[in-house]
Amino acid sequence: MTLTSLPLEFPALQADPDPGREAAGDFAAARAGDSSAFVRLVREHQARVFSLALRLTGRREDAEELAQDTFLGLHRQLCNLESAVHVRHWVCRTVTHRAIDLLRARARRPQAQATDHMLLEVPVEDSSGDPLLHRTLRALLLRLPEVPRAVMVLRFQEDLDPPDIAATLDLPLNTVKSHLRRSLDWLRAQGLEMSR
Amino acid sequence: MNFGDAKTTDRLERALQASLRPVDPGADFTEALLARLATAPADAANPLMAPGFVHRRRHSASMALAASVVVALAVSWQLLDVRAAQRAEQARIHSQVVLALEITSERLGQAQQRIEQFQTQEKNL
Repeated sequence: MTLTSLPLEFPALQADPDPGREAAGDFAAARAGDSSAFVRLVREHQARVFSLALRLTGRREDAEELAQDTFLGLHRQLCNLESAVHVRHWVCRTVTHRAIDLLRARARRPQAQATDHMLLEVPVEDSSGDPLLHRTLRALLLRLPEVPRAVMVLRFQEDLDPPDIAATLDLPLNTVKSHLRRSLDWLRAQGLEMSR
Repeated sequence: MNFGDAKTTDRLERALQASLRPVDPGADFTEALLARLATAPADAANPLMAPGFVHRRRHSASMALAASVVVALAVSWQLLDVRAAQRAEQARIHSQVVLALEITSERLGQAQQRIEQFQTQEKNL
């Protein structure tokens, strides 16, 4: 899958209930060439994009590279996007596909097997809930194959519904539901201790 | 579990949501991105990548396609002309060869007649 072939339309995706006038204004200004508006657009989405890349690749440096590439692509594609809502879907879709491509390329390399222990070491600030449980869950997610992992991250980080995940990943809806169900079953089977 | 329901109630799902809260890459991220934007060939500093460039690029592509068609037609026409000229030259050469053969044949006939006349005169002597 190549990034240049990614379609720019998002027919099945739902708009945010309140995308915000400020975001729409920044989008319009950035589209007209206002670089400070583009920076505001980046700051609005950078946590989302970086976190998607981080959860999918498991490496901070890869995540930063992917996120920056995504925003460079966004800068080039702004004139083809219709609204601020589409920006969110475009960046999610682009960074997810790029991360999957990276994971597949990494899997073809001989040293890829050595990364599993390193994936547990992703430094993430975690001030709420049970940090140990959260770290364990993130590490377990990194043991899923790339597509089920992307489905889980889009579901639980971005709170996307299965139809939106299917549109983002170009997968049939039933495949997305199947990945969600199997991944949750697999996580439950790991015997995690969860407090209320 | 109802996958169509956006509100999940399962503890595992709540724990997943909590563990996957977005994290900010930090202030350095934006600075690094701006630096890349300033130096990348396909950036805002490059007038080719300014908004509206894609439309101009599509227009340019159409013009290039039209120009290619015109050039292809001109080349085809030129090739037809060259082939017609080659055929005419071949016909001219063919007619000259035939004429040369006819002349040669006539001269040979004349020489044959003279030889026969010379032989007849010798016999008569």
